Amino acid sequence: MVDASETHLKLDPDAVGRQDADSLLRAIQSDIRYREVVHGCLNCGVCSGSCPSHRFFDYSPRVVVQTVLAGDAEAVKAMMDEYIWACAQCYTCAMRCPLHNSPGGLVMIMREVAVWRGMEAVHRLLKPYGRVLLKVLSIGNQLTPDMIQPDFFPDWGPKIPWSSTDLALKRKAIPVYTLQVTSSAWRVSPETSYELYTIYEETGVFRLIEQIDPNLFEVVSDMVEEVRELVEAGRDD
Amino acid sequence: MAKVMVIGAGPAGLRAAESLARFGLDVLLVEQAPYLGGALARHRYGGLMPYFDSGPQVLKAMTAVVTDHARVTVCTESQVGRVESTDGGFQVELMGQTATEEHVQAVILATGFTHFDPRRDAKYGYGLFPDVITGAELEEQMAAGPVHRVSNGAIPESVAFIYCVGSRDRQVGNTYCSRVCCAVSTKQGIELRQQLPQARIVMFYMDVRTYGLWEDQLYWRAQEEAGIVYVKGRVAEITQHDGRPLLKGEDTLIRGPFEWEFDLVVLATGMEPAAGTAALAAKFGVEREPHGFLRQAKPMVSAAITNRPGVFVAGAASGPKTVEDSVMEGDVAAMAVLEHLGVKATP
Ligand SMILES: Cc1cc2nc3c(=O)[nH]c(=O)nc-3n(C[C@H](O)[C@H](O)[C@H](O)COP(=O)(O)OP(=O)(O)OC[C@H]3O[C@@H](n4cnc5c(N)ncnc54)[C@H](O)[C@@H]3O)c2cc1C
Ligand code: SF4
Ligand code: SF4
Ligand code: SF4
Repeated sequence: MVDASETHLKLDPDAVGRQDADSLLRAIQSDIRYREVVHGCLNCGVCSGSCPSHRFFDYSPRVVVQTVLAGDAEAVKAMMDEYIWACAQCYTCAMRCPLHNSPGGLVMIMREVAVWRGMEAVHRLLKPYGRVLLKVLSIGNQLTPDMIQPDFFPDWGPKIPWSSTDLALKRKAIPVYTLQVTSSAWRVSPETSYELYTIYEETGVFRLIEQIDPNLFEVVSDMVEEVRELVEAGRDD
Repeated sequence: MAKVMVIGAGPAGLRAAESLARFGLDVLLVEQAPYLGGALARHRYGGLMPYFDSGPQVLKAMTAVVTDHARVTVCTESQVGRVESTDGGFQVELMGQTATEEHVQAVILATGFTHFDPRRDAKYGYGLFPDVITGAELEEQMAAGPVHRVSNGAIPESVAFIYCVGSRDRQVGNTYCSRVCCAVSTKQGIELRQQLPQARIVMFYMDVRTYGLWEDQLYWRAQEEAGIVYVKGRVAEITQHDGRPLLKGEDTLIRGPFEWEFDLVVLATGMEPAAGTAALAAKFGVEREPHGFLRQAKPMVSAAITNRPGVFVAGAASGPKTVEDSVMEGDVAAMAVLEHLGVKATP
């Protein structure tokens, strides 16, 4: 049984920015999911043998599990800089591990801790995702139709210029309830955004963004102020 | 004279029956199959580890006494029906070939094991790719003629053995080690070398458990005399490429990721409690241990004692075991029965 006082994430808002190796390892191992994703390790290599990233990169889920189990905090911290970001989160490893470990799940925890602590790797890795972050922070959506632009998705093939035109019209062809908006995945009310901002503030997400990307934070702050004024003015009437 | 029922005529049951008969007790040997010898007969093991004895000869020696002995009644193709406890033992109904009712003073359960069915571990493609076979199927191939690829009958130029199939794996529900498969595979590799002097023979292992005296007798010998290669890494999946099994995995020591084609792949499948063990345990009120085998109630006192007075266990019914150990436990169970019945040597 899980202690009801434990939260899903052991992400302490006051820990944003803390990066000493021991505290990073402690954060990983005290995560509520940790004992579900690591039970022990037979060093058998089934996870890495199954892993698409292991096949093509200098990356092995077995080595991640072993390093964390060995409790070598400095080595774990070093892995959080680049090594673990090769995982594709496909969870084939978890389907096959004879101990029912989930090396991919362990990597997920490590990534969340890396983000939460504002590690240098995160600045680097999140750069290409500035637009996604802005959407998530402002309306809670990840990808929206107006983000589909040829420059941003060169790897999406020759159809992408066509896909990025006449967005409003193409949206009408989608038989689900999107209200034909193109700047969000579905219509998001200001009330919803307002609630999101409260959550981001209470949990320390805004503080984290300020640390990782001050420019983005400035843009977001202006937006938050606007929405809050709008919603509060509506409530006063 | 006291009458004892021995259920299961594999190495353990045969030995128990023989010993009890020699001590002058009447024995009813109940076997569901039409033949005696258990797994040895079922899979026609050609050579036995660790001494490379001839399987058929061992089998012959095991069954000879029992079939000829006046005190042993052999009931093949027979099964236990209803069981009732009585004052001095058990009233047991037999069904099948021998349909009767017997009163016995003690019972030995020697029902053995079944092989893990590798279809339950889909990553190895057993049942899908014809050149992926089990260790038991390799025994049958070696007994019947030259070892060959099932797909086209050709003599294999490369053979891979995969260890721990169906053992040591939560995904398939078996968290124990089957104890014999490392040594059996190594024995098979050494035998295979006689037939295939040029072939590449590779063992994919997680640990090589040729414990005790088997270390040099099997593991070193396989490398030094038979040129067998051991690669540390549990194979992650098998697919097929150009009609040959393609093994994918991580060599955790040397190569890192590999994709490796073989002509023939042998799965070292583990041992599970025999089908029907649960039903038989329930009929006699015998507890099972967490893996489903019959529980030895006092292993520090005697391997044969169960929680139920008068009911004893021997061989692979209580956990993965070698022939040698099963035979030994047959004697242990016979001894426990004598003690239970208070049999004394007459001067
Ligand atoms: C691939 C493989 C190769 C092996 N090779 C070797 C080797 O080289 N050397 C070695 O030492 N060991 C080897 N072993 C292990 C060996 O097979 C076992 O140790 C041995 O067979 C166990 O003997 P047993 O009498 O306990 O059980 P079994 O041999 O399983 O015999 C049990 C008997 O009980 C019968 N039975 C079961 N249930 C009932 C029932 N309800 N009613 C009536 N009868 C029943 C069965 O039909 C069977 O005949 C090998 C195992 C495997 C998996
Ligand atoms: S989840 Fe990550 S570590 Fe696991 S198999 Fe997929 S890519 Fe590899
Ligand atoms: S599959 Fe599981 S037990 Fe095997 S090396 Fe990976 S984490 Fe360890
Ligand atoms: S004996 Fe060897 S192959 Fe068999 S389960 Fe144990 S370690 Fe695996």
